[in-house]
Amino acid sequence: MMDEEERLFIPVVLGTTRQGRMSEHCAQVMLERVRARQGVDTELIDLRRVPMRTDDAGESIKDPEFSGQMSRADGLVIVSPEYNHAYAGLLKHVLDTCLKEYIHKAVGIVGVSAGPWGGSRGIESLLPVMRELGLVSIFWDVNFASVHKVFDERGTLLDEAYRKRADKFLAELVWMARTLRHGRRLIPLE
Amino acid sequence: MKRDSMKCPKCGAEMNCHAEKPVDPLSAKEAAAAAQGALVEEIHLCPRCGFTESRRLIA
Repeated sequence: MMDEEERLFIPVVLGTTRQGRMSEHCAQVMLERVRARQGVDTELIDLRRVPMRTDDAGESIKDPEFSGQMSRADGLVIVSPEYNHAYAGLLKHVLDTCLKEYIHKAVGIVGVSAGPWGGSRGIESLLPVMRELGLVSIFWDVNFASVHKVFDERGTLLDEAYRKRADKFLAELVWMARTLRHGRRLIPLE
Repeated sequence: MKRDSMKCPKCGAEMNCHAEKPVDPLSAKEAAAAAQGALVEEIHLCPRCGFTESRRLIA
């Protein structure tokens, strides 16, 4: 089968466990937009469901299911709310449990904030972490700013523009994921 | 640079080494190698079954 015809797997990582998290609605929008694309499989990876110890850190506490999902993935959408100008600590704790699973795979970050900047400071703090993990970040972000105004109380998206932004973001992410998969398989390091 | 090839532990096909990632040391020996910029993790992908394997090297 040609690389171009083979389905991609791009899961959506919900990067917070906080009660009342608005990021869950954002993750559902991203999941819907990934599912709308031809040739891409996805699933939601909710940090609440990833077992993680806090008496150790790094690859020694790797969760087999999360590791398997990262190995299978061709790219990642990370939905990352901004807490105190940075990403959630538990997101880093979980991401640090893998390494080889990420190398030369695409990643796009969706920022979320209650304020007007759409999580952009959290995204900026996460980008060097992505690089160190071997992920290749795209140049599109999605920024859910003033997130309490973006959804109603049932989690319904109130502004259609977010779907269009998500589709632009995903077009780039899919291109990068497909290109990097080709390279991982067939282009040797010199 | 000539590398030792790796066979896929799942299906036996020759794997493609697509990355050499500098990594943090886990021992004093590795720390000495890292100080000389020579501690890496090689990443290999099987083009047949898609399995990923890696190995740490003191180059």
